[in-house]
Amino acid sequence: MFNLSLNIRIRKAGLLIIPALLWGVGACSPKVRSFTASPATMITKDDSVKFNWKVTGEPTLLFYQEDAGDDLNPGAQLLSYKLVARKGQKEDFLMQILTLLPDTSSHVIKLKTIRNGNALFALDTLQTQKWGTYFKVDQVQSFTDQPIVVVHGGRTAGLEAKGQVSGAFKGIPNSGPWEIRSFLTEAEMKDSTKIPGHLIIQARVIHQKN
Amino acid sequence: MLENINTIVLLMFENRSFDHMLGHLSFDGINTQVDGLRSPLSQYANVFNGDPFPPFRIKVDSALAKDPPHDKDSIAVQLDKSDANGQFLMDGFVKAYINATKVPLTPKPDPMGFFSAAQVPITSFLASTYCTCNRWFSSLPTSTQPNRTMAFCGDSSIDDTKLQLISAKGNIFDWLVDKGIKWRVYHDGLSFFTFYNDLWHFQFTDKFKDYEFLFSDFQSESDASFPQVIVVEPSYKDAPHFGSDIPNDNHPPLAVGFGEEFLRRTYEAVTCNPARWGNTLMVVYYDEHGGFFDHVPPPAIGYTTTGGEHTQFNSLGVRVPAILVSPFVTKGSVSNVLLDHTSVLQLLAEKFTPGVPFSDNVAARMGKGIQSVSQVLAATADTTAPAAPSTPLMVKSALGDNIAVAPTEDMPMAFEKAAHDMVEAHEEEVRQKYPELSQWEHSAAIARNATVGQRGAGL
Repeated sequence: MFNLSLNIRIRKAGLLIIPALLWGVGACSPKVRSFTASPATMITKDDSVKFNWKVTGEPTLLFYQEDAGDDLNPGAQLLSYKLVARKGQKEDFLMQILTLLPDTSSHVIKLKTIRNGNALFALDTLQTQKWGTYFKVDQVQSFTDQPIVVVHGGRTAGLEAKGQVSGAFKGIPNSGPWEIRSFLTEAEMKDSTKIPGHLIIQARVIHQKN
Repeated sequence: MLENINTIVLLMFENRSFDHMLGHLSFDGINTQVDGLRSPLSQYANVFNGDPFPPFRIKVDSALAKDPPHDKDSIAVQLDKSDANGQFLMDGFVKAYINATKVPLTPKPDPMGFFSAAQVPITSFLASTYCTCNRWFSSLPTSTQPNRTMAFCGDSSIDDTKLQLISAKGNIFDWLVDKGIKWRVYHDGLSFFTFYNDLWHFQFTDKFKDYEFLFSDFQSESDASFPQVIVVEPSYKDAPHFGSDIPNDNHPPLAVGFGEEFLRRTYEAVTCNPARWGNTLMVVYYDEHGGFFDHVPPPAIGYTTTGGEHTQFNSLGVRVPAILVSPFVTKGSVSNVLLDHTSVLQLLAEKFTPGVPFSDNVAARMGKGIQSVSQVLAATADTTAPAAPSTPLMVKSALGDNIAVAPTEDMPMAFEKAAHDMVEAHEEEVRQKYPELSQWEHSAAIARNATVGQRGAGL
């Protein structure tokens, strides 16, 4: 079994094949025992990604880049790294898939509501494992018709109407718990089917190492 | 209008949702009346671990890594009933997929993908040329066997897909025989009706014909014997296959190009004889959504299964693609009539037994708001039949499963057991009807012995 780490600096699109970086001669079938990337999920250009792996067999790292753009982030790319271990006619593999985001990106935060009397609460956590700590909030914008209160990173902001923007969370990591609160309207109190199933905001996020 | 329809053709594919197959019609402006996807796609995002996963455009028609889950428990997760308002949020498709398959999470999980017209050219062509049904839901929020049973029996004794033979009580074929209606099944491989042992006897008669006869029968069979009701069956992915036979039922993880080619051939067959086409209605629909995202919550129309533990479902299943292809629909139209698989059975009863419903349950569903396919038909006929696109279909796919690996999943094993039971009961007839099954049994046994050292699935 062999251990290896490799730093790859993200520059441009293309197919990269790194053959036969190191191979091991073991008694059993090829096996990718571990394959990790750091950062693990999301990066921006000029980031370095460190890969570590432990394999039995001859390792080959395959790289594939494709468009992952959507309405909010049309320039996003998907980077797929496939580590293959071969021995004879047999092979084993593990994948690491990263998203390459623009320096400034937008993300919907859509939280499922829970009713408590005449109030609505919505709470979820953006995983630090995915977001790290370098992606920081620049501003948030309400995507909800009624007034809401947003809580994140120890700060609170009120957004009175759909489309309103707040810079209250500027500089705070995007990861961590987000909470959105709202009061029910009279119409929602009378007819519970009108209660929104989600409370939604959109966060503009900047990749900021300092 | 019904009196002018001489032939009703039913073609049911497998396991794709409305937005997955037809969502592009509205998104790309091909027909903005279609209730498919619209920009921004972020409005439909499913949330998993706090992060949103919006629908995305599929770039290449290829085999998927995994079959998205579509059992009744997974569908409950996909529908995601809100605690706050009691409505289905339709935002658990990614969660159910990751929980069931354990595949690495990417920004583009397969259940959120939708095709463009370029990848589903025949489906897109038929939908935009004839009539797209905006509100056709699978009958039950569960998997293939119960939904197909609802479609062809109007009731279901089962609540999920298992290793089982199924009761055919109230089935369409006995009903047609009883009413003196001419009918036929054209099957491209082992018929799905193998699951119903009460229907095996039909399979060994000329009521079940090889699919390759469909075109020539439409073209030249005499009116005296030509069927009034035709069921067209694709080659099922989960059924036994041999050699060059490639399944084309669109069941994931299959690419859909094979199903598109099957749809093109079927459309060519039903339109090849202008006189016969002028009195034909073809229904192209899907048994259930196959775990793919759809944005329209199903209506709260409940049903309790007639057998087993009498499972209670509280809604219809997820919306599926459904297209009516006929001179008797308005070209390029879209219908918002509420339909499900039993809407076909309502149509048959209206056509062949006016004033008498197909069954008590079909009538009960009508009372709950499910309407007949007849409600979508136009007052006047347009017998033109534009040619389907003839551009080559590009499919990126490996050969797929073969007999070197014996079936291990529920549905393929269920198919295998049903086929085996039919062989046991009707060996000589099955040898004549499905000669490939003899070698299948032999090879499957060898494969299973080679891999696990024992026989399974009832073999």
